[in-house]
Amino acid sequence: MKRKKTLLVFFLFLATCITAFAQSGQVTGKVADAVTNEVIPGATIKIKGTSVGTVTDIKGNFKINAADGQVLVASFIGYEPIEIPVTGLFVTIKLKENSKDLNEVVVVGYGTQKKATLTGAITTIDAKAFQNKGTVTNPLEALEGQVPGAIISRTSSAPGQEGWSIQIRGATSTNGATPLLVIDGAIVPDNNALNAINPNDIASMSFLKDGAAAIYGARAAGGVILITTKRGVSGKTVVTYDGSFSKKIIGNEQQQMTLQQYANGLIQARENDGYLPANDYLIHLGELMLKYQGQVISGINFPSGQFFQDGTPIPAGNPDPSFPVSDYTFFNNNYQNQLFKNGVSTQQSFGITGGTNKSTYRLSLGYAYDGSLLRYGDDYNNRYNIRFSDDYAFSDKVKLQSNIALDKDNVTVPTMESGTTGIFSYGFQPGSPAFAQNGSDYAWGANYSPEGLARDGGDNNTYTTRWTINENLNWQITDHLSFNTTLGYNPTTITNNTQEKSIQWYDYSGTILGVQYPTPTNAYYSESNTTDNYYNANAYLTYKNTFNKHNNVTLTGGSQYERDEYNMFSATTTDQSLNAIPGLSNGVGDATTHSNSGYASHYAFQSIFGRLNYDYDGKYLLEAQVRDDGSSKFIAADRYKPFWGVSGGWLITQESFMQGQHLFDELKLRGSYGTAGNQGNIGLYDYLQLLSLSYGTSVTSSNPYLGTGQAVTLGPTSTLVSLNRTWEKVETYNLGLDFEMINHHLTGSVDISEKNNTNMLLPVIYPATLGATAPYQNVGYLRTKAAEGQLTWTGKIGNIGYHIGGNITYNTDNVISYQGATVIASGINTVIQGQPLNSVYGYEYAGRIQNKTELTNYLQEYSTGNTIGIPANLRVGDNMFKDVNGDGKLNNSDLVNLGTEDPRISYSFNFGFTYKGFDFSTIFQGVGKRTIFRNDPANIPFNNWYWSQNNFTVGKTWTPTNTGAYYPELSNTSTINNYNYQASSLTVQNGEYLRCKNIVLGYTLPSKFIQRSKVINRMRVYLSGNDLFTFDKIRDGFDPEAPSNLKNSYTQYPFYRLVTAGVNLTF
Amino acid sequence: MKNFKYSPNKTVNTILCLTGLLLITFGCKKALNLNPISELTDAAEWQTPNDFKLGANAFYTYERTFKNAWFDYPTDPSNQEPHSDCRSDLMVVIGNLNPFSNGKNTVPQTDATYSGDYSHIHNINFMLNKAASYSNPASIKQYVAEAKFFRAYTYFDLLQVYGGVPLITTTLTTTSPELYLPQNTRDQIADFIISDLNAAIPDLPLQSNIAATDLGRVSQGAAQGFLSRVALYEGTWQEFRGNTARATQLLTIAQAAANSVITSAQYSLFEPAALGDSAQKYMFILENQKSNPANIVKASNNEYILANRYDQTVRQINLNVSHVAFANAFSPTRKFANLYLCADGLPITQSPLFQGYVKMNSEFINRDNRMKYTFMPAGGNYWSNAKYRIDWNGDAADLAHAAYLNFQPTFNNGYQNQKWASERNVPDDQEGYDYPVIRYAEILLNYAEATFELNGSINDADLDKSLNPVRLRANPTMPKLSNAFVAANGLDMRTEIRRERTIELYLEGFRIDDLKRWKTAETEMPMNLTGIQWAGTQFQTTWPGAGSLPKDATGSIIMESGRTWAQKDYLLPFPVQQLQLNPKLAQNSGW
Repeated sequence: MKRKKTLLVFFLFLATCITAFAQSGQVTGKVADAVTNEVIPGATIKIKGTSVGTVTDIKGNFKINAADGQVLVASFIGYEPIEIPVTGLFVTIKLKENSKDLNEVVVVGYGTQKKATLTGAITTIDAKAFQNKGTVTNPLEALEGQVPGAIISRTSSAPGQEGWSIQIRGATSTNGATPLLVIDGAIVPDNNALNAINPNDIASMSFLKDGAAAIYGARAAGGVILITTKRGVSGKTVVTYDGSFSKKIIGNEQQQMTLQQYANGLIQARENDGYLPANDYLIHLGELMLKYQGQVISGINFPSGQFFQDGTPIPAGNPDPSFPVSDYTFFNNNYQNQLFKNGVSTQQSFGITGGTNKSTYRLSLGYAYDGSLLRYGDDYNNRYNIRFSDDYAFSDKVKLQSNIALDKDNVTVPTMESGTTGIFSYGFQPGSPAFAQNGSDYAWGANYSPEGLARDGGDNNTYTTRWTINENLNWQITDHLSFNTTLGYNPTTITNNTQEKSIQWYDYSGTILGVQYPTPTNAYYSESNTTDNYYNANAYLTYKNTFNKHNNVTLTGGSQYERDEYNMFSATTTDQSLNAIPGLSNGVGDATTHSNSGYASHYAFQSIFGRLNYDYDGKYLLEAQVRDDGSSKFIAADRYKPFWGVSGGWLITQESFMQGQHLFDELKLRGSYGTAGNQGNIGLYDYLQLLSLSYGTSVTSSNPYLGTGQAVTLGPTSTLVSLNRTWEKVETYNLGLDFEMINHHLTGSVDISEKNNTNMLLPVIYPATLGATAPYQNVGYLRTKAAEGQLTWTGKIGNIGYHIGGNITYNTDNVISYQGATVIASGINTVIQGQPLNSVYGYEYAGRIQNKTELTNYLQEYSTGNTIGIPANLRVGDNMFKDVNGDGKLNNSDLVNLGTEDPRISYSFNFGFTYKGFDFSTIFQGVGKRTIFRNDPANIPFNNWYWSQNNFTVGKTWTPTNTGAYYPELSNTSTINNYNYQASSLTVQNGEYLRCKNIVLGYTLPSKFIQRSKVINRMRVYLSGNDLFTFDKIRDGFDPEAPSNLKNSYTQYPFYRLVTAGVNLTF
Repeated sequence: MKNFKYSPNKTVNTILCLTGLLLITFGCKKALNLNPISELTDAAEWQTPNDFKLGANAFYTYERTFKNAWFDYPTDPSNQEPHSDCRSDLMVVIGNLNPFSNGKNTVPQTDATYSGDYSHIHNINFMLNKAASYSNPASIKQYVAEAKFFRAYTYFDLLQVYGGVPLITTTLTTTSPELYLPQNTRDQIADFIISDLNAAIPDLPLQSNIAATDLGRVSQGAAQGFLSRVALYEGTWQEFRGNTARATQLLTIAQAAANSVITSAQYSLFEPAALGDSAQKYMFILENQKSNPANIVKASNNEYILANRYDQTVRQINLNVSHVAFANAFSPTRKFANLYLCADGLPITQSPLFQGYVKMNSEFINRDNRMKYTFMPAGGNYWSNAKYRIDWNGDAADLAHAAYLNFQPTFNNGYQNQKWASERNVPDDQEGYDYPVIRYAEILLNYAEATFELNGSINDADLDKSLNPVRLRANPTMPKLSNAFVAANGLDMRTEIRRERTIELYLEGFRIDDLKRWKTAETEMPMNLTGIQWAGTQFQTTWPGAGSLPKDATGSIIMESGRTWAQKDYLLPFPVQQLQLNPKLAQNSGW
């Protein structure tokens, strides 16, 4: 029994933590559903007023040491807790199902609060969100569309480089404002920690969206994300295993033209431009492609009038004689298929939990592998997690919670992934092979096979190691007063080693070409090491009391100190020989080819905070919070800034006039106001004049050559000292309504909110005679409005339990003041005063020129003085744009706002049911109102003939016989192409989409059957699919979720569908 | 663990300690006093002379280099080269006509020349401010002098481009009233430049006293030479605008400054016998690698008074100089070609030696030798950095590797340039020849011109001391320029002095500024930019493609016509943004 041996190892490992107990007064019992009588495994049984407790086993049974007269409290998620006095040695406890747990608590800043009396806009997500999703490399991935008010997005789908980000209730600042991350009560200074955490360790996530965040002061303007990790449960040792295997299937991706499409298009484009087949190199190339499909013509030696092997002359005028090519390959291959394939990913988690009435523990081990869609090269993300948490009760009153976690996140990508000649550059024209005949790396002129760059160009490895050490002590000093302190230490180490290898290139026949790219002198190996040690300590007192039976008061007050120490160094060796072994000592160049650099910094925060919660009878709720934050980033004289918030609530259903009605179970009106700070764009030492010391690091450095070598230079940094800048202060208003209706079947909430960043940091421009960059100043104003809502219906028909729900988020922003900057350019405008952020401006498409008369008229009317690039040689078949303001000129003032690149609407809906052992759930997620404009020459057909061409225009371009085509006539002339394809209502794309985010079908094996194994207590198997299908309006094949700008970087990585088979085991 | 016993007192004590600790940390305000740990702060530096030396080192990056002399990206406001020959009448950029050259430039929103210069001035003032409070001024006087030299150097750039500009002599803050003052006058700026240079000169070392470890630093001669450039510029500017008294004052300074460089005997023209009449050509591409037939190295070049220094193994030019300079997209104009004298010292219009234009290479015969080393006459063999000289013998191996054998210049405007193109084996961007910021030949020509303009004449002794050595270096057999030669041939002394300057300093960023100070731009600049004479010459058969290009009356191909030069063009406009930011800054007239 191999499995048993494995378990034994864990037991031994944990031996020191487990204390046995066998004392008298043992009560046994069983917990079951009050209605169905089905046993409830995993229910918690506690002796009231103590920390003694246990959980029910797979059959719903428990044992606990209790004396007569003590009270047992039984609880289980989804059921109302019940208190039963111990009256004998055996009790049967029946739990009533409850769609809402009245005592459900929500983690808020520095404490927890009953959900029922919450007045802030807080959304809580539980552990279920991360289950059944296959390999989840970042918890945000599983939350897309799940958190009302939050828009979650990624910049890529490449493993380890997804760039997940979350924006709560729209933009907060032009300087960025990421939500503050707090894990188990300790602030985490870097949201990248989410890439390393094991989602399986997360018990819950709370999102503080409004003034409630003010308790976190200067860093809370973007909202706060509180993560609580899972903790141990006392009782019998329970071992769980969750594993899944996923296949990554290429989803939305651009498709390239086939050889034939390309050749025909090229000929057409050149002929449209007026070139004659007789003497045009490119038309000739197109004809050769059609004639020699599937063949190779070798032995070409450009330039100078030479002949193809069959005697066909190569016409003069080869566009770039500097790059001789040695063959022509005309294969009928699919560029995307050459580069991409389906991939796999997997994740495994082990959990062991147990303990005694004094001490509980949980150990979890996690591993995830996220594989590549790239056919060649090393490209993957490995994550390893160990987390150990321990709860120890010194007494009834003093408890210590400990967490130790090690998260390792390793990402490997091909070094030459990006850049103009990178793997995701614009690639070859069709017909080129991935490799030469003998498997070596193929190049055509200065175009290098992306497959070769991926396979042989070296690896870029990033190893991130994050430790979390967190001790939390809670002391119930009196019945009303408690003390809580947290000490945390988070050291993070990121090491990177990157090798860029020089590659020898070949023609198709395998003949070596003169070029090595990168050249051996440019090829390099570099290593860097970053350590970031973060310490934090906080302590607070909580006083809780009820006066006159109705007045419930909770007061919290405390202080916090945080410090961050950062250190980085890196070293690089250039001049690598071919096939160099990675190593800093393996460069073959002289001393100047070795370089190093380093940087160290630190900062600290010091804060006091307080909160008052008051409610009258649980009916009228009031909360106020204040925080005074000090930071080392400002001069001592002006270091502390206060932030505060106040919120109120009215539980309408508690009112006497609501008694007797049966529609509403709960109805709560909430309102809040708060201020919070944003620290985006605040440097560590802005208040000091720093100097920059510069030394030449290579022969291409600009340092002067004085004496015998490059001279070191010293001078002031380009930005002036800033003594008066401070945190941006964002005011938040929120109005919300929570309700539960129809016997708790229908629950929901609606919120509207507004954020005003009234002192946004902006670059202020002074006369150039200042001679330096002026520091940012708090002079801008950004207003963001948002609305969100969610609705869930839970019900049961016979044996079938089901739920159906959805949520929607809407936000819009407006730059009220931006130093008067109103210059509008065609394309994406990050900031324009009076407009939303990231507005896309373009011209209004006014139809196509269909005949000579239209052409003449258009040119006559608009050609003079236009600034929209109307080419003198405009043709029939090209676009016309509209003179929107009717001044007879086509220029910048005719630009219209075509929407914003930021999604304005995010929504999702879900449905699920359980029947006997089966469970099924599905989530659909979508985005509405987003405008995409790709400012990318690769998106213009045949603008650069030697690039591969996206096929989205094939058959859709204007010809005399296809006058209704969507796109203008093909051209190879850049002035015509740039004119036709500039930002306009024709070229922007609608970024709306709706996608099937997740479908799960699970089956829990009958316990009678499974328990025969004597080892396994519970077994569930499931099949799930992520991103299975998408409805969108994108024309160029890319995924609608991808960013607008895909210019030759890994953002071109195709998105994928994930199909997962998984198992959940409990031992 | 089973038997763990805790003491409540112990726990309480622990908690009290923790609470105390936290209260102490919060109470201690110094916990937030964190100074930089790896960055240098102003307060900690400027303690030793070496700090000031490093500070002065930064200013050497302000020196002009190849890009400034003959690159220009007129449409990119951050990439402007206002002194480039691309903006003059000597060069035409094929397919990219220059709006600053043809008078079509408009008032820009922003201008990197303006803001860049003031950023340099800020950095210089910053160091001078630190130096003012340094305890031992004598130990840093050389670096202070260098700072003043570069401040003068930067203000001269502003003066040439914009005329009068705001004079900023201290470091400003965002609340400084100086930000909102009107510009100073042209005279104030010129006087300030001269006073900075005069202050710097005594504290700078003689060239011969500069140690090998300090090569490249500003010498006394560099400051004197630069003073002659500034004073000649401003002196002639004033002279041709009718301000005789001011002109006399400045030209006197110019002549004296040039003379002190000459009499210091620290510099000499580069003319090693082994290179013969090609010395000037190889000086421009001189490297310590085998960059010339005679294996001569940079140490032999005593002509560069101040050089922006490069070396393939230390600091590469990092600009595709050879590739771009060698028969590429910009071409010298026919006007420039016609400026070269014939071997008898006479202009082509007068010399019997001139062969006309019948053959593609006719006009290159019997001309000033610098012409054949600057242009690429038809039928010649040429090498570049990619197709480089093998053994410099011109033998079979050498020829087999030539970039052009029997060169047929039938592209662009028919005239091709070779100045600044390496002939040795060196990859693109890795060339390492120096850029002459100030070279002795210019000082000699400054002396000749200042003397002539000051007195209205120049005697033969002064010509032999200045202009003639420059001319004779490349043309040992050409008659000297003398008053008798001028009189005998009906020449004009001023024209000949200017001709010599234009020929000698081509592609070194002088021409457009010279035309401005001579106030001749209004006649020279509107002329068509033309290429080779096509009609009635060999080109008609060798280059049929040029048949469709427009021609002027001589049958030369017109590359650009319709050029204009207005009075406003003598100065560039201040960028719009600066006028908005400082309403007291008055736009230059006409803009």
